[in-house]
Amino acid sequence: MARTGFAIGGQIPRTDVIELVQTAERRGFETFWFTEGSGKDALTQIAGVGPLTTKIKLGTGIVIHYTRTPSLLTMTLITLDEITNNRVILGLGTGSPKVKDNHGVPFEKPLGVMRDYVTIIKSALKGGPVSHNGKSYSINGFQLGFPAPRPNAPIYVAALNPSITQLAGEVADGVIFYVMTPDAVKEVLPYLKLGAEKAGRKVSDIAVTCFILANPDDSQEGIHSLKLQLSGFAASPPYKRRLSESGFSKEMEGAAKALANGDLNGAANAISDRMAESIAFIGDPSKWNDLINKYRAAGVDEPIIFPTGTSQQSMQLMRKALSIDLE
Amino acid sequence: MLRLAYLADGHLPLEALISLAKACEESKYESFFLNEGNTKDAFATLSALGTKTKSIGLGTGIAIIYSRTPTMIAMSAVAVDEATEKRLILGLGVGRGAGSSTGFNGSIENMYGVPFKMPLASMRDYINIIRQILKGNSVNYQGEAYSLKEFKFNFPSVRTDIPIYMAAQGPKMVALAGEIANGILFASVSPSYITEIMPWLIDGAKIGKRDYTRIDLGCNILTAPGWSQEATYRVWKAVAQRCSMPHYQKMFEQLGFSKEIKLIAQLVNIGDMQTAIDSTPMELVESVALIGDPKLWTERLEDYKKAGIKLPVIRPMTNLIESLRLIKETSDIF
Repeated sequence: MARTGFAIGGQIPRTDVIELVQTAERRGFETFWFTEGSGKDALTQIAGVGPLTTKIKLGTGIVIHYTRTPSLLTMTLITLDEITNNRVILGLGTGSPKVKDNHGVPFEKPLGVMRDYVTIIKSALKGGPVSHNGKSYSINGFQLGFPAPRPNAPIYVAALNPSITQLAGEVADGVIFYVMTPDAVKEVLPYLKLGAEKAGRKVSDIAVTCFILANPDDSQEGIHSLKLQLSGFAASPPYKRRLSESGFSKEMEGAAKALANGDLNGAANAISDRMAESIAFIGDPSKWNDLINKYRAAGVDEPIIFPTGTSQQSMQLMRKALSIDLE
Repeated sequence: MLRLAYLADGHLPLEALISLAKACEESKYESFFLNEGNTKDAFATLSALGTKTKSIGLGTGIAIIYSRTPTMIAMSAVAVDEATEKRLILGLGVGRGAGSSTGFNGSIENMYGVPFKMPLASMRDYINIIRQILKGNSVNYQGEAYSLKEFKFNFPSVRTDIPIYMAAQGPKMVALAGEIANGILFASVSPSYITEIMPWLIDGAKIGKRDYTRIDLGCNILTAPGWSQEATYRVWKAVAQRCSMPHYQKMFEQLGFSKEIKLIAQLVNIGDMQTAIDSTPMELVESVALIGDPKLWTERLEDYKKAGIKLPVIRPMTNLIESLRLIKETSDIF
């Protein structure tokens, strides 16, 4: 079975999380990803399911670097590697300017901070004292008090645009795309290569993953709910830009206008079927392999199914999404 | 029954921590604390320990606030509390700034790369923000050190009143704990120090319009049973190191060890640890640690109790096998 991942949000009750991750493991998914947002700590959740699984890799998709210091992230990474027997992938993202309101810290130099974080974590994992005088972040003499079970534990970087994709190519073990069409992936991937070459690395050593929204419910209501979620990206500048550049500027403008007026229905209606279908899985999972294959053909090593839906039925929908027969 | 807790060091392998937590649970310890420092993420480790234990309280002892944003600590606390079925005790401390760093694992600035800013104001803001997030409301908070705007947690916390304990030593931090925390965790202080600092706690409680007797008072006590050479050596070393730290120096001076600590601090500062250890008298170690025959410790713990400590937290500084032996022994004695 080709390598595929599954992702969930940070608001799902633990009993459901355990069922989902164990089912995903049984069904042969490569990786189970925890998003975080304004929900539960993804890394702590991994610690809580690590002892209840044996094979499946457990990743964060993603945690925002500003929320924790790089020293702590190194400590967390080794803690989780020990708990899960080296099955962890640390997915880092820069977040958005919302980090100021949500976390009380300034959204400054997101890319520079990312570069320094990955550099610091990678070097701290090796065990010696780390002094790093970066342009955006510095530490002086941090040393792990516990040896890393895996000094090369993987760090992936979330990317929406060429510049951070290039950075991922330079410093990370993988890249995590989100709300990208297969064509958008194709457009951006050369930058991964560029970054890798700049750092003297092989681009084939860098994992390419992509979160793809999914709603197994193709009733009118289900499609509306998916479109509502897609319209929400119009409120976040980096996503809005990404989607506009992917050929959906009309949709994004329409949704942004409606959202500004508090008109959620109008925002959902601004999203075309064409956009929804080219960027998300809709309806019965038996029909999803076409789109999955498009992503693989575009260069994605690991497509990640990320179900959405209204909260009442979300568990049911996630179960259905997991029932997919992967090719 | 005596309330009793255990503090383990995060540098121990996970399997060892699991054995210790289970042993403490079997021996009816009330709670099991984990320190963090530069070792393991305490929240992640407690989540894993939660899957291996059933009833014992699980605490961070402590997590340094500057390592994570206040929002992040709330998000982590909720995840642990859910995974451990409401057994989390959230222990928070400010750590040490570069100005006071001596010998230990380094300052907040060096270790974490963030400023050691306004420790009192930061601690107050962290606790206020965490409490508000746990309640599930949209949080608008303007603090001196941290502010949040319209943050809403999207997972209903399984317990909106997770107890928050503060590491406190100096008068101002103790007063702040009296004002806003559910408990205090003192570290390596003598009973007489606690007696002296108590008025600050009472004053703080008054400011917060709270009944100070309802604030839980815990104290980590370095522990070395006489039969453990390793623990004895490490406790002596830990006390010698503390002789070079300003906060502890004041306390030791008041206990009448001015002359001794001057010499010990000099030796620590020039890096001659062995001579420093050899120069540390037993009386000095005994003033802040449990040493010698465990059967005689009940009396010592009585001193702590009289000073106001409700939750002694033993911190055996030795290997797994000896620690397990000690847990068994203490549960028989107390």
